[in-house]
Amino acid sequence: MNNTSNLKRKVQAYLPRLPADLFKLVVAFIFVFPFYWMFVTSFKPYIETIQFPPTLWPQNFTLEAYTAILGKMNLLSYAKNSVIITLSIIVLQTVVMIPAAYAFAKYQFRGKNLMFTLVLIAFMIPGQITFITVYILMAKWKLLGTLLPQIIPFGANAFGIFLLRQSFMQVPDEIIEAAELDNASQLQIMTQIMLPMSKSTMITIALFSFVSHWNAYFWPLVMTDTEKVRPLTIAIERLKDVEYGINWNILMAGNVLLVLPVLIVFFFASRKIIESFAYRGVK
Amino acid sequence: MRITKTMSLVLLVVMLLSAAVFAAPPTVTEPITIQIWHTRAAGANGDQIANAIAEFNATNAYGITVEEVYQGGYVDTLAKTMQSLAAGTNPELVLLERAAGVPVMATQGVLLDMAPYAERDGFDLGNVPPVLLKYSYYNDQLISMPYIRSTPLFYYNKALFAEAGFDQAPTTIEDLITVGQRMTRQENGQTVVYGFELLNDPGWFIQNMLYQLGSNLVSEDGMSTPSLEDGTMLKALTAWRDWIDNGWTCPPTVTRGEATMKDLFNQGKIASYFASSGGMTNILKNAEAAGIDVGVAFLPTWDIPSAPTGGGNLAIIQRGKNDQQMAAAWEFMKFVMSDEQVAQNAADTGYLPVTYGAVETDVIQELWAEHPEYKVAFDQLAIAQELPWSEYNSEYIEKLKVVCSQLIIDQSITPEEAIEALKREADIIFW
Repeated sequence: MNNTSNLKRKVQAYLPRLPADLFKLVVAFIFVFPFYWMFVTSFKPYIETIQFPPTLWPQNFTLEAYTAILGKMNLLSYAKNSVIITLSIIVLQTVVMIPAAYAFAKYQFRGKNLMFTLVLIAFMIPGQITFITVYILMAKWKLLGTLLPQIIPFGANAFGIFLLRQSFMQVPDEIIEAAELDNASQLQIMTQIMLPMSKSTMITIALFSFVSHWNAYFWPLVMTDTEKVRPLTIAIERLKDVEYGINWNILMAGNVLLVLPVLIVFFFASRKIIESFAYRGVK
Repeated sequence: MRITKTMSLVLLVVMLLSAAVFAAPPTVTEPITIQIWHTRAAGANGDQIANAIAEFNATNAYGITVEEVYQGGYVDTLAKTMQSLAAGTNPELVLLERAAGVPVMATQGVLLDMAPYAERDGFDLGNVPPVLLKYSYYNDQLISMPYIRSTPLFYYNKALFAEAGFDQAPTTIEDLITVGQRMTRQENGQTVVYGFELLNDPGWFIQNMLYQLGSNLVSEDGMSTPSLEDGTMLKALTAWRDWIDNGWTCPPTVTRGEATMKDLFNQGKIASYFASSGGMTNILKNAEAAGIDVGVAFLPTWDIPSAPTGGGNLAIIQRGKNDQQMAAAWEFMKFVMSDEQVAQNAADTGYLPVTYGAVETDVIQELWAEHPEYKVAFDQLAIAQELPWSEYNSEYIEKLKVVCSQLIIDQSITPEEAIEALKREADIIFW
């Protein structure tokens, strides 16, 4: 008797939340299904990929798509390029971003607003507008045979500077003054006080940077003239033989290999992202 | 004394000048690395160029190393080449779409005239079928060679044809209509089998129909569009729209048209289509995996039997390149144009063997004996025609494609309105 009324109460309490939860389920399904589809397609033989009605799970489970790409293409060297480029960009951006954001957040100097406006403008100009001049510049510097044209232009991350500045501004000035009284250098304040208090923001920025540069296609395509310096995305695109039909299983196997690192990183970092976007007051 | 000095100076200048004019083309004297930018992505196509380059690098006597760089499709490769020309980082060799790419580069004067090299080395251009050489000459200069060339063919599902009582492909458009209608099957108001599909590739298929009707997409001088005036364009577009409206021709999809069409064919939902011979190896392989027996035949014809050709030509870029680089590029050009390489290229992919000598090789003869389908493509060259050279071609064909998609896919305009729209576009493009 007591139990049933308890259950009833619980159900009644839950009912108003039901539509929202259903909606979340639908949204989750919409986002997850393409990944699921990519994953199962990569384990099908070609003929099953074009079957109609399609199969939701491989009837003839096969690794032939994976052996086809891993055996033929030197994916490892492309992957190595992707890793070097992405990590270098993140390191470079961090080194540039922290002092810049700190200065914009806590210093008063002439031209500060103008300079911050310039950062915001840089944030708004897409690579499609600058690539030809950058390409010609890189050609003049004789850097096209190296990985640098894919790294240097991204040294300053305008979005990151903006986000980190907001985060630094939330740190009360009293804390910095206290540190200064204790004879802390500006570098120490930045690295030992500001950074730990903005950890989730840093991780979020690094993560966004990682995803966008790991997945970059346009920039590497126009900035490279030799296979030696190309990242994984270009190698995967090559699997799509547009002119004469597509082997979906092979294309999807390539994409699985491409997104796997991103998924793994997201799996471990998702909590930090949510934290940094949720409002945090002064403790 | 003075005179002799002046005279000897003049003599020296004359000698130097004549040496420059009559100098034999350079040869490669030391090891060198050159680049080729190409469009041959993956699968049979990508493997083919990788293997050919590996063989050249291992066997050439000059220490030349060719490095291949895949640059996307024809449009991307052309755009990247233009960009690199501006920056001075262009490759020695580039693969260009014969009608949409070669004229763009040729009119800018960046392509090397290979005639002196060909003459020096006794390279026999008579070995190449003349129809494939249309985009090889510009102002009497030899500026490109046919490399991955193809011709569209009629592919059909033999089992579906047999079920409907046909044991061979239609040879005329009238036959195609009869066969296509008979082949089409509906269940519960849904079309489960279409008799035919025509891709939205008017630069090939519509242009060829116009030729078959006695007209052409552009005039011989490349300056006007006769088919808009003489009614042949209206006839071809009206026919195509009728075929769709009558329900036996499947309309192409907006994106990935060719891949989608081939998937449907392999599912047994389309009985026949037109497509390039260049993809034949993939078509046969995938159809076999799907358990479908593919027949291959000439394109059906209106009045005059004909077929277009297409694909890519290989050219050497002279801008910013020294003698050694150009000479090395020529060596590679000669290598890929050798009968053995041409034969291998054709056998691996389904592209046309572009020399008569290649056809005589064991590789091609054995291939044809085993898969007579490949021979059909080469035989069709006998009736092949080529789009007249015009620098306006690619722009006009692009507009034609848009108009066709409005007519065939959106069905938002009538054939008459399509002609009006094309006339407006042609007025702007051709002047």
